[in-house]
Amino acid sequence: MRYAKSSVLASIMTAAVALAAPAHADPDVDFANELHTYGIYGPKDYNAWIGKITCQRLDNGLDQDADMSAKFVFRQLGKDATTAQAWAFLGSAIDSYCPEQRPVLAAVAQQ
Amino acid sequence: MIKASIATAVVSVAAVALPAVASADASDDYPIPNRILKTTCTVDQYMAAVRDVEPIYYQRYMIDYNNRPPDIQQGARDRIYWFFSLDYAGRRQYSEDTATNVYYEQMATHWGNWAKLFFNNEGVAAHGTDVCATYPPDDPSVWNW
Repeated sequence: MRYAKSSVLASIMTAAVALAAPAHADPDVDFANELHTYGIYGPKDYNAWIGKITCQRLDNGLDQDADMSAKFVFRQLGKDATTAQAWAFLGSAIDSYCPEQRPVLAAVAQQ
Repeated sequence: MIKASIATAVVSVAAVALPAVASADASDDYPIPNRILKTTCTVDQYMAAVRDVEPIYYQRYMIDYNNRPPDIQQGARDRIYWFFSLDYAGRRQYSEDTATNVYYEQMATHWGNWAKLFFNNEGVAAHGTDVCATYPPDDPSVWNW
């Protein structure tokens, strides 16, 4: 009886450990995965840095609009990158790291 | 016969002894990259350029900078402005002085990487000096990051 109880307990604990395992939440991984859908590859950490610095430049006013921001991003992507990819990168970076900057993109849409 | 062998021995000892005096002379690219010795850009121009073209390198330097006490920050700024005020010959001499005497640069005893953005990476120096002339000569915002 005692043995049965402890084996039930053990299997509950095993289940708890197994369930907890996939609960990783790394925004840099999600960001990298999103970039892959646009055909943007390269080191995950590099792209995450660029995404966060892009936000910082918007936050402190160094890049005053989305156009300047996209130009900054374009310069950091590989030689084969397209303008469309730079804009896709910018949109993902804002969604991932500074959603409060979404109006910057909306302002371009209204031009 | 004995004389000849002594002479040979002396010559070969000398030959061995001479290369051993391997002093760490500076070259035109070491320890300070050639582009930095020759650029006519100001500190602010160079930093603004690196902020745009090597943003991660700039970011890392500024994180390090921001972690220093204010007097060290001030010292680093004063020192790099002083360096950029030198002409090519003066910069080359400074490069020589820091290469041959590790205690020459006092700033480095307070902050080892105080000039990393300027002196440590030839690629960064090249990319920065390629475009630095297009930036405003005075831009204090480069130190606010």
